[in-house]
Amino acid sequence: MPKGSTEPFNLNVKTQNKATNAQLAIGSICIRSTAITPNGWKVADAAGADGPFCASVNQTADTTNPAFSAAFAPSEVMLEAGGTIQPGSYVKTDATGKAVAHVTGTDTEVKIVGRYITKEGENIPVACANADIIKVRLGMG
Amino acid sequence: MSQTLTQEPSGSVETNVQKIPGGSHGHTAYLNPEDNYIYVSYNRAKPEFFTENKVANAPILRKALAEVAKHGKLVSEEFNEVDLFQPRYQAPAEDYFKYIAKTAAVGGMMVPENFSAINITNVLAQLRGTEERNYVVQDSVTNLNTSLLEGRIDIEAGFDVHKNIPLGAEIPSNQVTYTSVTFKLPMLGAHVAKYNEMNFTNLEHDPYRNSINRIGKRVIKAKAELTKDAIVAATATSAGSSWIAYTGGDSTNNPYVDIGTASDAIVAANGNPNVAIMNDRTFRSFFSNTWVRGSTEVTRGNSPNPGVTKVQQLPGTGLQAYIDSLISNNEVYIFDREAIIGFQGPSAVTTYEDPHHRAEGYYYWEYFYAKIIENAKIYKLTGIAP
Repeated sequence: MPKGSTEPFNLNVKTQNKATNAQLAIGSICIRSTAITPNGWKVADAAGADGPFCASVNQTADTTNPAFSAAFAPSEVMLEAGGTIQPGSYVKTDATGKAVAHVTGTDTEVKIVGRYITKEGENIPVACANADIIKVRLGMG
Repeated sequence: MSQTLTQEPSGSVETNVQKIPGGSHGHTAYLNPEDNYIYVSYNRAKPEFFTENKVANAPILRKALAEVAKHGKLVSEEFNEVDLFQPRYQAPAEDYFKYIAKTAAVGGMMVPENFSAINITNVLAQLRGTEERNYVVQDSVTNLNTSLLEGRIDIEAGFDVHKNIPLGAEIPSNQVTYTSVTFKLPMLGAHVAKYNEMNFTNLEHDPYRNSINRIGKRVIKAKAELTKDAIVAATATSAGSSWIAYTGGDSTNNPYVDIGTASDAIVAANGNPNVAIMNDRTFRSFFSNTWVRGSTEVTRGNSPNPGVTKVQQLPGTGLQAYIDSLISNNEVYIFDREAIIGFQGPSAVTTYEDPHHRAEGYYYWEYFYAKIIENAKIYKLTGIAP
């Protein structure tokens, strides 16, 4: 599945706010933005940012659009990997809204975006590499 | 009209007669100062001021051209009452104006390049890049239909008749014995889903429908791969010999020796070797081997459409050869068709709708299992065509 697609089941996609002066790219990990009123979301811009999180899915929200399609837990969404991740590992965000491995015991739990399932085109889970399109189950479950 | 009127230095008769450059095909235009009309002349050397050569009133034409250049069209009402050209030349003049105007974006004769923004590209209905490769490995085994996912298949051991029984002696009793192999069919499936918005998008191809249509073809591929995985797990293995190695002008090794070794082992296990499966590259090595084709004889076989999946007799052996690129080119499998079973389980289809997200989907699933049930009746030759 392409980046920003969702698995049909456990789908939980809602309309959420975004700033109207920037695009919000499909398939990105998003964190809350308090810079807009009412508050909304932006593509994660700090490595290991704290939650809450959602993922932008289905289409890139263009500049003027005040809203975007946001997938919340327990959706399974296709994101882009920012590094090697082992199957089953928790993931956190990097500085550009990509998924990287969460280090249990080092990173706090509020940084957990979801769990890495496998990468695109693989039925049997394998480790992913940087820039791979990967399936992530959002939430801590 | 882009011609300019220039003074022609000519003789006394033609004083004040102006020649208009730019004519072609032997035509020349002249301005007659007596009536201020432009005449066409078929004689390049001198003007021909005949009535039938009269084309247009020069002052009116100049004014008209000036208006067209300035406004893009004629604006003065006086042109409503006047023909710019004499009737005989009206049609050619209009044709010329249309020719000039065709590069104009506003007005004029319409040409395709003026409308590139709404140009509809002709997308052919035929799709390219779809994989149409065939697979035959799944046909090389015995296929059994089963409606249940779990079961057992029994294998009957041999029954021997007693021989050389002495006069009056009892005939010892005997009976067949059975062994059995259990099986459990795993599932293979496909799932296609789309949002409702796809229904209202003017796509030249329907990816949803195309995806569903591809399922049938890809199920065959999946079964072929599963069958191949079962076959290559054969435990009776023998190091064969290279069928493509040459010593001098002759092949070093005889393929029939390898095939015979495998067949002897299968027969010894009470089997009936009747199938060989291999890669087409291996198949070609077989035919090019001098033990097969002979050094001087006409070739005994060939591989039409090299590389393509096919089913043929393996010349000189009676084996049915299933040629499929799923098999490694370095290996040949010879077996009794009864030794491997392809269990064809039930299949099902369903569709669903997800009104919450305005989505719909299609499911296909099927149960299939390929398994060797008699290990001694399948023989794997390695090192054939490295």
